[in-house]
Amino acid sequence: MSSELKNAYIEVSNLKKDYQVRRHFLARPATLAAVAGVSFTIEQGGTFGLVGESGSGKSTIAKLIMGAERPTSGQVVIDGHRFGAQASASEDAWRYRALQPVLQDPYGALNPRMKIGNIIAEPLRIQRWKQWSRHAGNPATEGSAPALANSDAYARRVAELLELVGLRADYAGRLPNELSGGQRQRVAIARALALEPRILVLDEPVSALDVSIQAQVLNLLKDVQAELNLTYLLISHDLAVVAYMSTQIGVLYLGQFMEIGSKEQVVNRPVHPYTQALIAVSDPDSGLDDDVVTGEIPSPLNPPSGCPFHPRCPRADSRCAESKPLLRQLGPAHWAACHYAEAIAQTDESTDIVSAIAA
Amino acid sequence: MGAADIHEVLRVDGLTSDIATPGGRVNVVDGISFGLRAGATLGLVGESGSGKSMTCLSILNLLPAFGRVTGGSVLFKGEDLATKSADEMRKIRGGQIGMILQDPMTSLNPLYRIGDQIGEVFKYHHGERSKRSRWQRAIDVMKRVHIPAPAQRAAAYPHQFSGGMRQRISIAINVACQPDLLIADEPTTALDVTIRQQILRLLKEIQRERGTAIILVTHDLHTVSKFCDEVAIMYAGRIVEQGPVARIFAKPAHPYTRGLLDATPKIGAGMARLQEIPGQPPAAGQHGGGCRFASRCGRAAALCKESYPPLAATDGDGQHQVACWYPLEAA
Repeated sequence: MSSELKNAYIEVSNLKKDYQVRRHFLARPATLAAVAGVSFTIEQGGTFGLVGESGSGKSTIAKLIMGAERPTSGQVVIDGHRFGAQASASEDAWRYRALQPVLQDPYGALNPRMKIGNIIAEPLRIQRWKQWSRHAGNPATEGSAPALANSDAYARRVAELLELVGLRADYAGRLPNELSGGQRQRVAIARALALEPRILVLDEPVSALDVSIQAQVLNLLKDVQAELNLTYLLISHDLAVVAYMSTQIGVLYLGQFMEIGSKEQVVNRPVHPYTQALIAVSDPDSGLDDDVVTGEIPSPLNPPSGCPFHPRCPRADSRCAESKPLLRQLGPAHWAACHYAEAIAQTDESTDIVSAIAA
Repeated sequence: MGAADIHEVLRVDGLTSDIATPGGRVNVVDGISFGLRAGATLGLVGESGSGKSMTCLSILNLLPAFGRVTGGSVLFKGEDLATKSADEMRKIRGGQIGMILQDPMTSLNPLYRIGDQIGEVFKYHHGERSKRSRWQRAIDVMKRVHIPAPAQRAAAYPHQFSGGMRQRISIAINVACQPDLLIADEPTTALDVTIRQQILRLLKEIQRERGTAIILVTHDLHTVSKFCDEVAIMYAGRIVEQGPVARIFAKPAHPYTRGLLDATPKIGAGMARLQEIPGQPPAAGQHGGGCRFASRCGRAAALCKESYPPLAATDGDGQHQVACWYPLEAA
């Protein structure tokens, strides 16, 4: 895929992550393939949406890209910096500044005893912001880094960040328990932006929020992205959220892509039965049958033979149980791993949701 | 919504309850009224803190120790639940009224086999004394909720089941007594999207068999539009709009309902910006005498800040009701 897109800012190739798990302490360890060979690219300023259910490996991919876990094999290249199975301290130091996470639970993410101002200033202190900052002439960039968060430079940066996420500057003096869930998520976003990262990894950023607040945070993330030219990796179980935010979408199932491509292709012309099922249950107006997927998600410890989705797939036949379909290209920005992808694309008129709604 | 409907399983009238907080008693459910007929499903929709779960607990007389019902009445099959003794209520709950919670892991006992836990229902509600026959009946209801290999699975413990299967078990425990009313509080929120669909379908199937009335508490408007017949939208302890689902989704009359629909991302809708509702809901008890949504409402005028609008019919047959001084016109 890498050759297809110009200016790939993040390039993930054949990424794999195995975990050794024991069912009980005497058992021989079994291999759990959490991520089983995943490749994709993200262009600068774009948003790649990873959608999948529990056990699909979406959070593991986020950890591998952030450097919280090392891949078993494969590599991630971010802006020319290469990250593989071997650690490199200098590259990791670069990555820890260039990438910042925003996680699901805005209650667990903030230290309840720290004031908001200190929470946002903490990364500045830890990473010695003076060396990092492009704010030339800023007092903080000269001499030794200020030790305290309430020094002027830090306070100014905190106020700037609070304004960016739509909170008043006086929130710096408050404690997390004085804030609502949406406000806390704004603080978590401000903290992630403190070091002027190039990439935000958003792992279920709005799942814990109410609908009206969810829209506020999604719109904030869009505004901040446009203002700072950020690149996003967005992870969510909610296809509607992913479709709203993303330029590209990858649909994961048991550690592998079922379908991947531009948002328009995946959402408006889905060719994989799993993508179609996800759309059917998330969108009452899709016209797709929402009653087709049976059974449960198989354990990644004991994945099905052939296509991982075949035991639940309404179209599966013996071929699907025997041979595993590889991800193959169906259009300029569209790949799917299904033996019958072409047939579905041709025959299934209803997959073209846009024309169905327009008609 | 007639006054004396013989098919009406539940009639809630002016239900009001409050909870004790360090700052004094705070009203959390304020004058909730609705009726529910056999075989019908009411969606109770609202954001966190809107009082939807408190409404259900008030109906069941299950408020926590710091809460109490202060007004209104609950008629279940024509009988006032307030007149029931603690013992009688215990028989009704789990018997004629079932309750399904969000996370079945916390409602199942991790130390007992599933077959015993389901069988317990037959002991307490049907006086079934034979352990073997209880076990057999447990297997029968497991079959009814489509748990594969029920005879073997009855001997398993809760942690050996997936989230979706655990939710099926808690449905099995509830349907074992063939309830007339099932209260499901966010039953699918903790589940994966493809499993959600299966659980909702199972609830529908059970409803069709027995004509069970269902109250579905949820924050998910998609679920309501597909699953419910009636909907009541709650905001800050009150119902702001209620009526048939099709009418309310097609022509919401309350600005909050409209706002919720516009704030929900839709897959086919392209990249148009989501309409956010500014601000946040008032904390319980922190609202004045006016409309509780007024501070976030684009249409609010002086009147909205002064007095709370009563629920009034917007259409001829009175089924679609809205509590707004300046309801949205039918588009």
